[in-house]
Amino acid sequence: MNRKLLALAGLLLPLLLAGCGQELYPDESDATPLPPCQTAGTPFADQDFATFKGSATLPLQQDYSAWRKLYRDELQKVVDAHEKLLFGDDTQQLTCDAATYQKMLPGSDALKKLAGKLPAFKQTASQLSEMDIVPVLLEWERVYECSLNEEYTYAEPNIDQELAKKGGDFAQFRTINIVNETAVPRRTYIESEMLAVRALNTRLDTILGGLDRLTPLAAEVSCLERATADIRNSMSLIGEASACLPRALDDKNSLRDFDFNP
Amino acid sequence: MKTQTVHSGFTLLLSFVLALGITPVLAQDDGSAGSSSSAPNETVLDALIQNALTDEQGVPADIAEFARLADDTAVYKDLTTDDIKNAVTDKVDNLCTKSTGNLSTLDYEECASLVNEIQTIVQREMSIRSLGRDLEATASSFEVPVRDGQGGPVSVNSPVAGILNAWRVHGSGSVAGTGALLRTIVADPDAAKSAAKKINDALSKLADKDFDNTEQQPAAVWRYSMGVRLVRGERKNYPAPKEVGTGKAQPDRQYLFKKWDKLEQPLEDLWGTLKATKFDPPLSDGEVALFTFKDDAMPMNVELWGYVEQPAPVKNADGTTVKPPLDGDVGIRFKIPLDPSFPSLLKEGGGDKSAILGGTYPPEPVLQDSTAQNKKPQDGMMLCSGPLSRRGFLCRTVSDQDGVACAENPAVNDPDIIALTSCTQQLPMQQNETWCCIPPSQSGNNSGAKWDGKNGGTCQVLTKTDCQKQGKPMDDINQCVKYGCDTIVPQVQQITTSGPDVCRNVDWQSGDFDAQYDCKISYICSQNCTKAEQFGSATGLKGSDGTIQICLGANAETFAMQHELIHAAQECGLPPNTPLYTNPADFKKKNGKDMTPDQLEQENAKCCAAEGEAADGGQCALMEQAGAFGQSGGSPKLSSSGIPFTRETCMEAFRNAACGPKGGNNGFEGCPVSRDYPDQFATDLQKLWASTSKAPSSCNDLIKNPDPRIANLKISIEHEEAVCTPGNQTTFPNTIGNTLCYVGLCAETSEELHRTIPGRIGATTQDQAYPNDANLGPEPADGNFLTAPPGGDTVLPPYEPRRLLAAMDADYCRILGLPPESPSALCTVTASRTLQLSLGDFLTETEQTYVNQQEAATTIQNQEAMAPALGIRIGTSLYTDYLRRFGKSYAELMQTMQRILTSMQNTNFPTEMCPLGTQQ
Repeated sequence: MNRKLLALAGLLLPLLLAGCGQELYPDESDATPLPPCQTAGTPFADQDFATFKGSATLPLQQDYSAWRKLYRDELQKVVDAHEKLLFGDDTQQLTCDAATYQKMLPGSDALKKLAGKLPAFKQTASQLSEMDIVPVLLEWERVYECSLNEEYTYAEPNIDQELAKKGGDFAQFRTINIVNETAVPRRTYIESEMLAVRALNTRLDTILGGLDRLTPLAAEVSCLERATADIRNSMSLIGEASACLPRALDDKNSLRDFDFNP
Repeated sequence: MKTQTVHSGFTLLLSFVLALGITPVLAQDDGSAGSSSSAPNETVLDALIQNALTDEQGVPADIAEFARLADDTAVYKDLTTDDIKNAVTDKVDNLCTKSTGNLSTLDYEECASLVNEIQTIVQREMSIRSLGRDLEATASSFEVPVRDGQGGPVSVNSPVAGILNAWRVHGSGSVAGTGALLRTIVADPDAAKSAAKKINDALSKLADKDFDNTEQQPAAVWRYSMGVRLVRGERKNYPAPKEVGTGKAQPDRQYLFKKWDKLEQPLEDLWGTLKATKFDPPLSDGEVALFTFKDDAMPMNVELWGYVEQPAPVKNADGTTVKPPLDGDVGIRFKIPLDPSFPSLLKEGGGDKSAILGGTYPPEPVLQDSTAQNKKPQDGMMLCSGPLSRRGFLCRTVSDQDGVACAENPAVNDPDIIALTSCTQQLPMQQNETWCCIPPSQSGNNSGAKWDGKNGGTCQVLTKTDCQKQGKPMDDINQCVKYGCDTIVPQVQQITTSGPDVCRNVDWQSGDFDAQYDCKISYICSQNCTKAEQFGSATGLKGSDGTIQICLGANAETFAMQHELIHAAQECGLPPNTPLYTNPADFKKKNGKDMTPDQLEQENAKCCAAEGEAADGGQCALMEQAGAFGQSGGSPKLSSSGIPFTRETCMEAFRNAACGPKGGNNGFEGCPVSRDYPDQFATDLQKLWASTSKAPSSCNDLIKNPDPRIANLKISIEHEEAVCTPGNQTTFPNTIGNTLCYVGLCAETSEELHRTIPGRIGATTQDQAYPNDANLGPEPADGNFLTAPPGGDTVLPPYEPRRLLAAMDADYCRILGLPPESPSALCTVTASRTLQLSLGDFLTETEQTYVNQQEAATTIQNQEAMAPALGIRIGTSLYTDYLRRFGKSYAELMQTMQRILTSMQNTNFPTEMCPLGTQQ
């Protein structure tokens, strides 16, 4: 019974916690509408899904690494910057006198740069906070999955175009049968990649969400630490001044030092 | 065929994950999955990607091996790891077309069934791994920010500890000091690098080992995540986790308690280095030094941690205090834990491996103690061994007494708890006091006997007599609460001469004792205290070592003790061997001659000042607090001589007694008083004192168990005075709490122990306006002991001329034998009446008429002659009445003026005009 309750709590807790954070993000009316699920307009549109490698012999050898590298490199940069914020020693980027958490924790350059490439965040990229990392990464994953999905659907015509672009001996394979056969391993790869990407992002978001749950508190604590330093300095000055209290209040003494043994 | 391959603890959640349809799909291209290399330049994200891809795209070698060994049938014995991978990747042809061994005997359907079984086994184990990592990611992401150690903004512990440190008061008591005293130190780079290299080598070998690569490395890191000394049982207060649920019965927990020698040795060496660190300044009691390790040699996502702490002193049964040796620990941990310690799939050991089928649950946690107060699991102390985490709410002792405000609570005295507010000291309950349940409103039934306490009320400590009047006596606070009085008035306060102290027991770490400014107070009991005052006690001179000895006589009690302590406070700030005043007898004995009149006057004034302050703040203040002078706000009690008992009359009488001809300092002339005090008043006052104060059982008892006010005053004099004495240097850790205490003590010291007279204090007169004062040398002390003359009741007596005239007229009429009339002319005999009653003789008639007039004229003449004399007498009487009241004040005023003028005459003025700067 306890384990069932635990599992149930595990399901409900993220939902509840997700609700707690909604005030951190702009109103629905201000949000950009979700762009269509397509490759066009995304960074993946700038390069082919695969390139043919090796000699022009059947079965055709395909290199799928370009999109995956693009996806993971951007992910790496953003997470590295976030990791530096979480575990680095530099807390100076905190804006302690900001009115909102959005402004208190400004987004890293990597995050803003990636968001600027995404249709959903193009308008608001410069105003993003580091607290927005999970929505941005989710959108980055969605864009990647949409592109993979589009490639999955249109594998044959894309292969035909890639063969035509490759030219040379590869042009001879622009037949229905060969294109169809070449599309099979490509689709298998896409299926596995989509599963892996989803698993990777789920776990990554789990960790980031868990770590970030205390980020506002930790930021406040860091700012409190700075304020404490200011107060301590002020108190030191007051302490210095209060050393004069016995002199100032005791009419038996002067404010000056007397020589007790002249 | 056995299907019981699901491991303990995950059964329920596994079904949930399978329902989501997470299915292992194998990598098709570069085969990056399954590798667990640990290049130093990799990041946590790399490890995350690695794990995610391994879960979804690869078949780790150990799971493939487990699947091969999971069934002991003949067919499985002929399978290879590659056969397993082929089965999982649907390369059925590669498997089913093999012509070797028992596989060749299978037809296509049987082979397809075999493939299906293998896929099921692998799928389950893969799902367990994936689920384990998901759960670990969830748990660790919540734990990492609040665990012990260093971190950036996301780390809450260290900044909070730092903030607490910056705000706290460094005291020896549990009141002021809460939270951990923390210090961060960079570990010796060479030692850290050496340890990191060895640890990296050891972990790399575990990772590279075939088949076990996903089990042993995480298990080894987890093993030492709470410290190598802890798991080796080397920490006295934190026992090692008890090894349960291992062995042949549960081999899937084989790595949880495994001793990894190649990891332990470098960690032990590192601990030796950390422990030998020269801390500057040395660690104070309870302080923790957290080490940071700057090295790049550690494996990816694994880091070193370590700390050294100086445990708080331990009190032995005999009352002595022992300082424990340094404690602490060192270990390794994941920066972000991604892998849990998985249930083992393959039995460890040389030769052929065998599968661990699992299916058993871990044993229930064993409790240390079954008592209600100490239900801690034996292996639950690991989390609570860290210097910061042990102060968290999970590790805190929960008190049953939390609802009782300010009751004595053992948890309050626990230095390891976070006490934002707590009771500081409880006044010992006196013999005549009791807890009392008081009704909420005194307007109703206030009879203690009939009060049933059902409607709420207040629990408070009162004298038994007062309690009988106001409520119902109770044995203790618990009974009081149970009875129905739910509002508790804490019987906790710290009282000094001027009220509560701002800080107590502050550890002024560098406050060196200087006999010139500081003092220590010691008591002795003696029947013959030298220079004893009227109650048989005396305060000696401050010795060259700064010790002031208070001699308590036979009749000494709390009031006398307070009196002597104030004398000690007066001496404390003076240089050693400086008397408060010198009496004429001593002077003559020492110098062989009498004092000059000026000297006598000055020493007399000093005596009045010192004894007046001691009497006022000593016995008179305590008598007033004890209610000896009558109810506050009401009429004071009257002595038999009609003089009211007030703090003022008490002070004046005692002061005059001490510094008068009849006092203990024979030779003085007495002090200014606001009225004359007959001897009977002093006698009455002594009786009142005796009836108010409580005699101790013995002098030693008085010293050992002093009244809290006495104890606090002694502490106040010995410590706080020195902290803020002019010219004395006090150093302390720069924290807000310490500074606040310092500010508070400076103000409190001034209020309690200094003289403040408006218009004379330095703050208002600004001695910068009188720069010569700086070079005047020792203050002549003339102004110190001047007592302002009491305000004379000098109203002019009433003149009342009409009444005087009326009296004159009445006298005039009375002489003439007539009733009083005014004006007096009405009493004159009318001479013309003789004419109305003829006498027959003209001459006689004429003569009678003349005589009649002459009679009145004579009286008038007599009155005229006497009136100026009467007027002078009456005027003199008025003048005498006036002078009788005014003359005394006038005489004192003149004396004061004469004293000031004499002092001015004796003052040596500097020869240099307006010298600036201090005289050194």
